[in-house]
Amino acid sequence: MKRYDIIFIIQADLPREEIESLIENYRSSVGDLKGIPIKVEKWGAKRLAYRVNKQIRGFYVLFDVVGEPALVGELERRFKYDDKILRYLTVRKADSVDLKEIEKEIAGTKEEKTEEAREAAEPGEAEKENPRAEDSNRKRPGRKKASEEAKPSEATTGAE
Amino acid sequence: MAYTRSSEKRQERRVYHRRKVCRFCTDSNMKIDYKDPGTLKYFVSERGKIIPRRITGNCAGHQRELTIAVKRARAIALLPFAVSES
Ligand SMILES: [Zn+2]
Repeated sequence: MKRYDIIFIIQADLPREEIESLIENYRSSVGDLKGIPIKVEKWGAKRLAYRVNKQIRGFYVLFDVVGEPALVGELERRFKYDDKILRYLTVRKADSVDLKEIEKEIAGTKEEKTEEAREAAEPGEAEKENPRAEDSNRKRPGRKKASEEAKPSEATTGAE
Repeated sequence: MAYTRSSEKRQERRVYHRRKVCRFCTDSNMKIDYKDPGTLKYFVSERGKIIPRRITGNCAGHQRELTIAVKRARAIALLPFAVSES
């Protein structure tokens, strides 16, 4: 089992419900392919640095998953045949994982989701005082710990 | 003539905030992350090209890491491949 970051960009001009169901679909297919989704980050609709399929905006989604290499292959194959997916990128983060640690991490992220203001309460993170304001201007906060590489999950409201 | 040249050079330096040392080695909060175009932007020119480390002062290891991050960011449209003159 390896750990991957899978980022994909959905066409942003789709209705919000369709985007949500698309994300949910892919999330469940990770499970079907014997993978474990650790977390799903929705960065929201962002302006693309260049046009992709004549689109200027895209809805960014990040999957932090654990799984076999075949999972990535199959997921990328599905992205490729999905017209609503503009781009995708997979980055391998770890070659081997400790499933106990992963379970702990999943439990941690679930707690975080229920508690809205968790980011402000997190210790040792002075530079990120106002998560709401950061959301609105889409600025990425500085990374926290070296072990927690990924950017903090934020449920963005979509529109910029 | 010689005078104008040297003043031009000084200006160029200021544009890229030339530093003697690698910013990633000095500043521990600065991380190289392909998901963070905000930080990567400091190391690409207005045209979208990666700035050589002789100008930014990055160390070899960090420059290599940075290059990979910029290329990943380009792949998912977080950074441009090229910015055309308008
Ligand atoms: Zn360095």
